[in-house]
Amino acid sequence: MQNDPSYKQILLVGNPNVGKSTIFNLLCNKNQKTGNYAGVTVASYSGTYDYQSETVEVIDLPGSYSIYPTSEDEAILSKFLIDEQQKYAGVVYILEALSIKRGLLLFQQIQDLGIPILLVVNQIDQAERRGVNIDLKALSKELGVTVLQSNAKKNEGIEELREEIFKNSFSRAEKASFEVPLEQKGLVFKIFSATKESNQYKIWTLLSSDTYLGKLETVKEQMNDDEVKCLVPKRLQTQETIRRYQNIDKIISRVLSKKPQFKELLTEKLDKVLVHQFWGYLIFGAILLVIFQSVFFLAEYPMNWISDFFLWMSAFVTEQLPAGPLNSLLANGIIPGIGGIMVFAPQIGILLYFLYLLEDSGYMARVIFLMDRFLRPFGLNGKSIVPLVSGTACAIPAIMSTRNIENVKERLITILVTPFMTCSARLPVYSIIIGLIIPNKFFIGISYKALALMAMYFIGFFTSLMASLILKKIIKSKGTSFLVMDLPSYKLPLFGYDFKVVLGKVWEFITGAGKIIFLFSIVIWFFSYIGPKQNEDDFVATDVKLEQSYLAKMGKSIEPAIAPLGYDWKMGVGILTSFVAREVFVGTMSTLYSLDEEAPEGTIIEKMRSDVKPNGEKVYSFATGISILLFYAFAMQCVSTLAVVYRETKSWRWTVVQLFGMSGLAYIASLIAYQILK
Amino acid sequence: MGKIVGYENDDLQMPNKIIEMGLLPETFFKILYQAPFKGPLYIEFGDEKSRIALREEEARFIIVESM
Repeated sequence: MQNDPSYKQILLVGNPNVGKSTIFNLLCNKNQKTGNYAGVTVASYSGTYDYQSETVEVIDLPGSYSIYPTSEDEAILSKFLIDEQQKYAGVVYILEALSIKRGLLLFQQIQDLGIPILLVVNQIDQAERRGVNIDLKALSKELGVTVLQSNAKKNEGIEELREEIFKNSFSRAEKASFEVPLEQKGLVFKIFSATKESNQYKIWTLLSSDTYLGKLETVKEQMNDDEVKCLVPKRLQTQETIRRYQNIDKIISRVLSKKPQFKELLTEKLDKVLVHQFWGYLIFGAILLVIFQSVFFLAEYPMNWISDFFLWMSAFVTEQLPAGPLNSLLANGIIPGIGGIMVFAPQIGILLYFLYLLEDSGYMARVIFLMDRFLRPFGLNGKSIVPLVSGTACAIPAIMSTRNIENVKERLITILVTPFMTCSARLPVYSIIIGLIIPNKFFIGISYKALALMAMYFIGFFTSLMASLILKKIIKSKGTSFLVMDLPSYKLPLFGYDFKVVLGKVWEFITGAGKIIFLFSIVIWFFSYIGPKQNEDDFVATDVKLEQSYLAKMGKSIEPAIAPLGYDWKMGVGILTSFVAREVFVGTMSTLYSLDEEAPEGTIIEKMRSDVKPNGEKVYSFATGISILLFYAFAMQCVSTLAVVYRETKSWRWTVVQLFGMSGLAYIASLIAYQILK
Repeated sequence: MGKIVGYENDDLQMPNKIIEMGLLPETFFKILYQAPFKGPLYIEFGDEKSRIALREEEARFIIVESM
């Protein structure tokens, strides 16, 4: 592909929060999340667009302040820049006009690595409002690159950028802006003659990086023990940064002019309240309250429509298809199963939409500021609040967003405890069980059911804190913990764009869960349709009663293990299938109850409510219900999350510890709860 | 209000991010807020009035001159 003249790969690079992802979206028109909180671009994303005769692939890399990585997401950037140099045509470097000084540091580092680059100054209007004027022509001359300007939020400058990319306006620096200091010159030269690496700065970066920055071993081979001992990478980095800033200061003094007075920006006014010692927390609490209120009350209307639609569809299928097992599978198994998930789409959508708006606006950084002190005693970092809050939607993106936590231990703890947060897949299960066991009464205007649900959210949060506290004692500390974080200016979120992204995510959830539920409905139906043979000639018996099926046999064989928790074999099957994904419970129960001819008529929840044991007791008693709720609150029932945990921790040990730790806790908690309450 | 004059970093424990973010010698700064119970500091610094959150532990590496 690279040799194809009509195909080109370019990289988008810059500090966090400079509008990089927004430019990426405008360039590529591809669905991708942008954010105003450091670290939203957790992995590199790529998108393509066509311009004139060429196809351009744009790779959006995580933001960073320097070529020397301090966290996992910054490491992605450095690796890509250095290792993949043969692949891409050049770097489009995005600079925010207001933080031009900070942005030029990484810019010059990339330039010195001999990488072709092009500069885009974004949000120049914001700087002008501050009375800062940047002479782009002079800047272009000082840096020796093409300089463009853009206003990503207003879609300005994008066509010009495409044009310059088409014209290959990337340029290499003629002369390095950073000279290798005299003390290290000899060493750099020695490595240069041995490895034939012609870029002196590249050799220097290998010497001064304490983490990964290319083939450090081959460099070390060229050094004698004394040289290795004397080399203090961190000191070299500090030296480089300070020298570069001296140089950048000179450049800025030549391109920047300032009016003496400027207006107070919105950010300054807002922060007087939003990070206030008292009001700040009150507002954060209020925002969370509004979000969860909306999740339950605003979502009620669309949820009723969806539920009615699926009831109608079930009835329609029952009437139109000939009676028989297929009819029952479709009308009572698959349709209600998928409907059971669809019903939760509005709740998931509303939750995600709020979270995206919060991230986009720049507010999340303030939440980190407010929460850091309170999360530290638990072995977490202020930055852990973002995965914890977004864990209420889904643990998978939440775990991926831990990549900007620099400290390895804090990151690991956050990854391990995030799945305790009440994710949206637990909602369907909670709603059904709470509907079954909690009476329809009100306590000063608030329904018992809503209170029960809130209690479940609280249990999730409380457990993740407690688990952190335990993990903090177990895990050995690696590296120092720190919080040095940019507080970006507030920005108006992209309401329409975020809405589109949320719709995509919700659709992903429905189709993903829908497929699994569909598959499981058929498998469960199949094993309940066949049973052990009743006469010699048959291989298996077909069309058996549910109680005589293989499924019942399998379910009953695990009964000794689950009976102490108050579950019958049907719940056992439901819980076992939930280890793939929690929401499968709803589909499994719908299928099971629809297959049972002896079960009473009505909707799934009515069937479950009126199901009785042989002795006349309710199957879904209060004790059993609480036991199920606790089991779902604690157990690690999500294959996708486990896969992400493994990918992020690169450790089978921690993945297994998480699976068995959480599920073991679930078993014990449910056991105790049932035995006390029954 | 204060001015950064240098760093106390003989044992190299200071995160480089402090310097990379632009908290450099000769930079003027102002501590605007602090989160309760000795939480992070909210600092405004430099000509661009950049804003940064920093824990007290990290701030101790920076030698400042009060104005």
